[in-house]
Formats: sequence, structure tokens, C-alpha cells
Amino acid sequence: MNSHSEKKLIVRCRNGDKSAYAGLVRAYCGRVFAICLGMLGNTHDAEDIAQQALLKGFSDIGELRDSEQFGAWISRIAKNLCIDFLRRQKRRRNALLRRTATNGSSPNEYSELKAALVRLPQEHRVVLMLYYFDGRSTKNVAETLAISEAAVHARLSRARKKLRELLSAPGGS
Amino acid sequence: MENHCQNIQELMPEFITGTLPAEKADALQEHIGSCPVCAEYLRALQADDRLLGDFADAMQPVVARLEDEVTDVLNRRSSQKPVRPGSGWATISKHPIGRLAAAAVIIIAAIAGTPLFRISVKLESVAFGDVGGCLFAGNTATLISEHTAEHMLVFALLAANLAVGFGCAITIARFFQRRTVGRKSSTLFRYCIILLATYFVECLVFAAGGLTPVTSVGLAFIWGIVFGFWFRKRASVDDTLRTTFFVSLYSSFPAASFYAFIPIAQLLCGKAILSAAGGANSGIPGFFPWPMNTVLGFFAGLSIATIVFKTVITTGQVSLLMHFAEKPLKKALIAGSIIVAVCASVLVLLQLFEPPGPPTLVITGVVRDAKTRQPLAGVKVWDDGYGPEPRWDMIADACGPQPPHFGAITDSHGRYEYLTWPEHHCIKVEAPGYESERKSVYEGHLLHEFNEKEIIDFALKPE
Repeated sequence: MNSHSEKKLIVRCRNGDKSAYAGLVRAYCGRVFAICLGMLGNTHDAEDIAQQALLKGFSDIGELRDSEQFGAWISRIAKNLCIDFLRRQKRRRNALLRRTATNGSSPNEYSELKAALVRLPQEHRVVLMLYYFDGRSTKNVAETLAISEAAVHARLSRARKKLRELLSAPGGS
Repeated sequence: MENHCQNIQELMPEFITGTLPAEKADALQEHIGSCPVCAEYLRALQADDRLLGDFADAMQPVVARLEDEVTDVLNRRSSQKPVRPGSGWATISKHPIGRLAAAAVIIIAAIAGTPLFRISVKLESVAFGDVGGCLFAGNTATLISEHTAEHMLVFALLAANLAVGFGCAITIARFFQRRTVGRKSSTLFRYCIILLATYFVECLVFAAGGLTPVTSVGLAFIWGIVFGFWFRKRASVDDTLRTTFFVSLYSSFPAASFYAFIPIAQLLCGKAILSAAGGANSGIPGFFPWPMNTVLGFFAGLSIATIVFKTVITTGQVSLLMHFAEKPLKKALIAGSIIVAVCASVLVLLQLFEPPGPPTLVITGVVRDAKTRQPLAGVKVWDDGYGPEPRWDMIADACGPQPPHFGAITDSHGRYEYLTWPEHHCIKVEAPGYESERKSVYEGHLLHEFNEKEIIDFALKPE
């Protein structure tokens, strides 16, 4: 989506046009989901928070400044919601442990990968998820995380290396 | 050699992505041709890349579902436009003065509404006493006093209320869950807990708190603060307000149902509930237009007013809190909630400690011996369990035209006379050598005229 048509959509959203927001959701829901999955490491919670973030995006669209990119803005909302969520989870750490334990009990073809992702540091997980869920474009990742493309490359490399270690570690799953 | 392998391996991630410069890629290709360890590592990384790609593809249905759900929730929302500058609500919500004015309106309305509720307190106790008398007085009068009968009724009503309220809590919580953002089971649980807690507290406070609807309105303030803090930042403003609206609507039903009970109680006692004269007899002020001056009309109005009032207070307060919360300064939020909390608690405390007015009802009568029918002199008669203990030293000396307050001692003809509050309570007679006796004040005078002389005679049984 080019920035001009995006601007038009945002103006329509500000006037309460839901169909315009649907266009934005289509373009950015992969990215928002990736951030949430990266931050939370749990598909179920990620879906929930991503939904909240996208809905909040619509209700708070008036707060988006003209100079700001919608993608960066909605990413920030998602990130903040995830932080809130994790903070609440920390208080109920036991519940979280129980949940990850039950997730592991239903193996499917990605269970090993999921287990490794859960153990991956959050920063690495976020960059990997963003890369693979948002069109494998380091430019998008750079925009979302507000860092340079070179930094994205570096982070991505470290994340791959770390993931390889986790996947090849004996008893890693 | 080790070092070289490491350098090559550092390049591999970019090689996979296809962003490695050509000469470096060539060097890498050349190296892995001769180094099985590095070749193996590259294969593993490529496998990881495929796995991650496949994983992302496998998650596409989830992303698609997410997209559908978001559009779905948005479409289901009532199409309200966002606040535009210049609209009425914007003026109220965006200016600090507007916010304070909104808060003031709510509080003034609450204070102005309380006299109405005070009338209802009186009528309620009459109605409960009446029905207690009707239902239990016949065959069980010797076992159950009217007081007990009234309490039994209140608790029966409370039990029925709790059963109904708890019974539909899950259904309502499901409805909330569908209407608002969350889909998780924990949201359902949270809604259920909120509903049950508010309903339970409402019921208990109303039944145990001496039937003061004012307490119930005070509770609406407290809910406003609790919900404001609880829901804040959980969901969008729209969703929070909608949820608050439904929760407060739900939690106002116990209070409303108690009012609805009163016409039923009157009906059970065989009284007309749609005549203005009957309403006046029950103490409903005559200046209300018909049908508001009848028992049914008055209490139906009161029921609806309670629901509207409580809902408006709670929802309005949450909206105020949320507007304060939007400010970057947390100070605004704290200041706002402190103001509301102080106003609400002052209101509640005022109601709790408000004296019931001057004693205006004269109670008089004769105390006799049940067997000999002889009048008994020097017997103490006083308000039991209501108001202060009578000053017996002053009563013994009193000989002026003004009768003493809250208690008296019978004269040589067995007569007593004293002033008390025209409220529902009991009086007690105690004489040495006789069994003490209690009688209720409410049944006679409250149903006729206020300020009337109430005659209550006693016949005491010797021990």
C-alpha cells in the first residue's frame, strides 16, 4: 500500500468509516500478529492481543499524528499492549507456566519449533516473526522496529544462530 | 581454520536471505565445498529458514481469522462517529471545567434525589411490616414477632434475588464477552466475577443496611471508581463504557426489585395500589401527579429512577475517570478520582449518620395487670432498640405540660405518655414482678396520619 492511499484511508477512518479501516487491517494484521507472537511467544495470547491492538487502532485513530506512519504507530500500540499483558502475566506466573506446559502436551509438526521459539530471547523472536510474517522484507522490519536495515540484518543473523543452537541442543524440545 | 569456519558461518544468515554480496557468496560456496561441518551448518540453517517460512504459512489462517474477527467486531459496534471538535460531548469531555461540571451535576442530582428515597424507606418498612403481619400473624403470631416476620421477608426476597442474579450471571457474562473485545475464557471468568460480586454486595447492603436505598446509590459511586480503575486501559473507551453500562444496569436490579416488591406487598394485604387516596394513606406526598401519587405508580417510578440513576452515576464516573486517564499526567487521574471518591463518601456518610428528625409522635396508653385489670403505676415504658436511652432522671422529675422524649413512667392511673419519632420501631414495658413486653409502633400510626397520637395499651402478666 503506498503512503498516499494509506493517508486517504486514515482520513476516512477518522470520520468513522469502518470499511476504510478494514483495508488497513488487511495490510497490517500480519505485522501486528507477528509483533504479538514475537513478544508473547504464544499463538493464543498473540491472537488476542493483536485483536485488541487492531481495535484500539480504530478507536484511537484520532491520536495518530499526520506525520506518523500508521504501521509504526499500530506496531507501538501492539507492543505496549503486549508489555501490559506480560506485566499482568508476571503477577500470575504460575498460570503462565501451566499454560505453556499444556501447549507442549499436544505435539504437532511445529511443536519443536514453537518450544524453541518460547525459549528464544524476546528480541530475537520479535525480529524473526516480523521477518517471516511480514513479507520477508527487512525494510518492513526496519520500519516497524524503527531501526536501520543493517541493524535488522545483524539482529536477524543473531536470532538465526541462537535458534539453531536451541533446535540442535540435545533435549532442547 | 576454526576461525575461518566461524567467519564463514557468520555470513550464512545473509546468504540464506540472498542479501550477501556476490564475492562473499562465492567465497562461502567455495568453503562449504571443502568443509563438511560448514556445509552441514548451512543445510541446518536453510532447514530452519524453510521451517520458519512454513510455520508462518501455517499460521496464515490464524492471521486471516484475526482480520475477520476485527472487521466483525467493528461492524457489530454501533456506528458512532468519533468525537469531533465542537460537538456537545466534546465540549464536556475536553475541557476541565466541563468535566467538573459533569461531575457536579451527577453529585447534585444524587443529593437532590435523596429526600425522595427517604420517603421510600419509610414506606418500605411499612410494606414489609404489613406483609409480615398478613402472612405470619395468623397462626404463628405467638411464635414469630412482626420484627422477625419482616426480617424473614427481607431475607426471602434477598435469597430470591441472589438466585435470579446468580442464575443469569453466566448468560450475561457471555453476552458481554461477545459484545466486547476479549474472547478468552479468562474474560468470561472476569465478567462473571464482576457481575456476581456487584450483585452480591448490592443485595447484601440493601437487605442488611436497614433498607436504605441511599446506600445503594452510594454504591453506584463506589462501582464507578472500582470499574474506572479496573477497566481502564483494558479495552477501548467505547467497550469499557458499554460494559460498565450493562454491569451497572444489572447491579441496580436488586434495589429496583425491592421497590417492585412493595406494591405486591400492599396487594397481598388487600390494599388498593392504584388509588390516589391509598397512596396518600401510605404517606406518598400528594403533590405528585397521577399516577405517581398511587402506590404502584410511585414505586414503579422509584424503581425506574433507581435503575437510571445508578447506571448514570456509575457510567458517568467511569467515563470521567477514563477521560482523565487519557491525559499523560497521572496526577489528573489521581486528582479526579480523589474528588469523586471524597464526594461519594461524604454523601454516603451523610446518609448513614443522618438523624431521623425531631420526635413528633405522641405515644400514650395504660399499663394494667393482665389478671386483676388494675392499672400499674411507676412502670417504665420506652423506645426499644431505636434512638437514645431515655433520661430516666429527667423523666421522673418531669411534671410540665410537655411530655418527655423516648420514654415515660406510668402515673397512679397507669397512664404513660411520651414523644418519639414517627418511624417504625418497638416500645418496651418493664415492671418488677411482671414479664416485660414489647409492642410495635408502626402498624397504627404510619398508615393514618403523621403527628397523631398513638394509643398502645399493655396488659402485663405476673411472673
